[in-house]
Amino acid sequence: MFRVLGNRKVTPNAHEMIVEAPEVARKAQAGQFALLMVNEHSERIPYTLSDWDKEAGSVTFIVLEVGKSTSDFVRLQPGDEVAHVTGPLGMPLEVDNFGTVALIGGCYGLGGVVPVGRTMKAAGNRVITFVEARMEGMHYYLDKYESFSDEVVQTTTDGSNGIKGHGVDILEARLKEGVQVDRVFAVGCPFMMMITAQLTQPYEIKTFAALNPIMLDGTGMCGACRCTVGEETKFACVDGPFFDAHLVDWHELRDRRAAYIRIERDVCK
Amino acid sequence: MKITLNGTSVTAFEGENVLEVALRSGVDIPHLCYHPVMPSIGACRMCLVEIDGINGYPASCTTTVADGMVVRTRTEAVRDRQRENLELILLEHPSSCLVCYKKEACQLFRPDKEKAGTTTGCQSCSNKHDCEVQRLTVELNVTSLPVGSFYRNVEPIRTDPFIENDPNLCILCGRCEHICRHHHESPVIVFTGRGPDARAGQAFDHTLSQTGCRFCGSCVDLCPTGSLAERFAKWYDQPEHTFETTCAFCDAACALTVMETEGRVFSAAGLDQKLPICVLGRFTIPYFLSSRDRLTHPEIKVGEVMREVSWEAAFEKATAILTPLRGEAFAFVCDRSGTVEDRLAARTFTEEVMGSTHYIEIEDGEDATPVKLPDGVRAVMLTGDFVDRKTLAGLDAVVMLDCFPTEAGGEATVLLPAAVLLETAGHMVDETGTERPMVKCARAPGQARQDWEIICGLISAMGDEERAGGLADEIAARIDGSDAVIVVDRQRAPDPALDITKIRTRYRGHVIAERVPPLQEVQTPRGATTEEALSEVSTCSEC
Repeated sequence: MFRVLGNRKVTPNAHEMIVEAPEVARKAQAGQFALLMVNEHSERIPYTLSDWDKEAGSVTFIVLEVGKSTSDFVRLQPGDEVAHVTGPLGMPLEVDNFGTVALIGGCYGLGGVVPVGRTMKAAGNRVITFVEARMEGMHYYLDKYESFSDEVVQTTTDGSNGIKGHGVDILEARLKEGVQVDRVFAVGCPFMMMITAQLTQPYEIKTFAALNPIMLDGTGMCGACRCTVGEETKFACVDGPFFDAHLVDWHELRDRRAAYIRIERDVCK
Repeated sequence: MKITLNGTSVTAFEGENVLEVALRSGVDIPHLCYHPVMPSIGACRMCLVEIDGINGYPASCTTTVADGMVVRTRTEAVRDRQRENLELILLEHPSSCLVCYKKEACQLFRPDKEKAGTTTGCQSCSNKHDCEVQRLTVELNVTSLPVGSFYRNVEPIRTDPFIENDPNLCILCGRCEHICRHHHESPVIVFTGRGPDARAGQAFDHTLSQTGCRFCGSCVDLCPTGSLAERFAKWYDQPEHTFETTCAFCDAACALTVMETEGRVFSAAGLDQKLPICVLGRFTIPYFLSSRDRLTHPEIKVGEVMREVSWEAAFEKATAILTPLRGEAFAFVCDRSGTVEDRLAARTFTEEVMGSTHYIEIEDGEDATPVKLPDGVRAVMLTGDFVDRKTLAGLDAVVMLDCFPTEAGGEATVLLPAAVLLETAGHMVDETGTERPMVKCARAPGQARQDWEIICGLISAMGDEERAGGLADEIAARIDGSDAVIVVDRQRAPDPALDITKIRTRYRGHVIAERVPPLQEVQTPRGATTEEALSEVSTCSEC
């Protein structure tokens, strides 16, 4: 069993969950994720590793409450246990000194960009972090961003905190000003990652997005997480989760994510 | 009388308000708190107009018409006031999606609702497709807010049966509070708190059950936002079909409007919003129909175990056990939940095919069970949980047409899955003796069939194909050729809608609450004792 060490509500619909999983923490690298089962009957859900602590043997996830399993998870309190944590899974990110790296994070990606930024900074990159939220009170982890970012840009859709707009708008403005960006990493909902890819394509900036399809075993066996990248079928669990965002079939990803929507709705009642 | 509306002369009637006249004349004035089924409140200040001789901008919903009144609804000044008021409303509503300039692209990419524990924008709002605030934002072209919006950041109330309440989405229009007062003698929704703490909810944070809510759902029906939502239906998208039919839970025969997707009913509500309906019609139907316990396949007893078989094999078995017991040794037991057609088929089967006089129709489903069988009966066919297991165990043949497994069903030799409620077509008889049409809105689970279809199939299997065909034709002609209408013009609400203790507790002999878990909370409220309630009163700091 894996003990829950912390549960903090970071936005009205998201919780920072810290779970004891020493083996995962020991091996985790930026870009990877872990699969978690709340109890022996619940779904296996992949969560992006937002942080980990080798000494404490803990991993941190940002969990959005979007259905039955996530709702069960965020209701756990420190001391409770989850049935299973499997990880780290997925390919670690390719790390190098690319020059300037832009991170775009939305919803759970506000946590998901942290290991990416930290690693990129350590490799000598200049890091600009764009974090978008719907409104005031939905930003978190500012201290973490500041520890690795050369610049942090907060945006809200309604302008109640930071700059009004989306992360991509500000990135676009910077690019138009002539700021050189060599890599973009996007973590968040498919729509946000898609529009980020659409923006950077004409600028020919290599852009990577962390895909988030439904996943089962996480080791390339079941194929539930298949997605189309550059007209090739890839498994997000073993080939990803980060893929070249310019080559991703976003509409297919969206449709696959909704494959079990009827059952998901029924268990929410 | 005549009034002038935007330069056009229109007819108005004594006592009408300006908004009613305008809407009737095809002039749409933006409004949020006004709803045609209840008296005007005048809370939201969206329906402001200009009227000659009246200072400022009166609310059209609370201004009674007078002969010769000159009203302007579309001047720039009026639009500005409405826009400003809507902006103020949006400031206390999670409105970032409403003013997001990427909303069209976002909509195109993900047209469906996205489930969320707590809604922070339209994209993850259960009311996404039917939101009056959203509609007005578009209509009045509000694309930005003067300052950032204020999010109340309180926990949504998810502890009540059937209804969820997210106060963060509430715009305090007052419709729920007003309709509750309008429909019930002792309302359960009140405004509590002041300023940023103002809520439409229950006093002293009691649950709905504790306050004596009847769960008529009128508040949910009228809520213009996603604040009050029906739990079962919450995350379903737009229905593929909507139907109008009659509720068959009791002989009040309330008219329902039903939402269906992929053959499954996910919501049913009163068709006539002017009067409330009871919790059974409003909330329990989707739970009841989609229960995982439903019987889905014909089964026959082989040795000590029940085996799933085809309809043919089940009919064959039923024929084999019933044929030797024709005459007074046979009895058919049903209640009045079935349609008129189902009962016609049952009676025909009993009297003409089996040659028995023991067609037993339970008058009242509540107290009549368990039924005592006439002496000499050795075979029985039942449509529900009406006879106790011990009695059935002593019989030679038991054929059950039922929707749920029961203890007594363990004695059945043949168990046939029945379609019920909105899965059936035909007629029911209401309390005045009038026939009301029932429309098939949902697909029955698995291979379940309606009672009369099963009975016709059995008659046919017993060798009387001519009679089976004739009966089926007669029933089909009855259903198609009927001129029965759905009742919508009733004068008063049915008793169970006003007093929850009067709801029917059994359907086909089954305790409804056993199949609809939230109903148990309604019937046995986790109520605060009087002492607890009093102690809370004494510690209330507001009064």
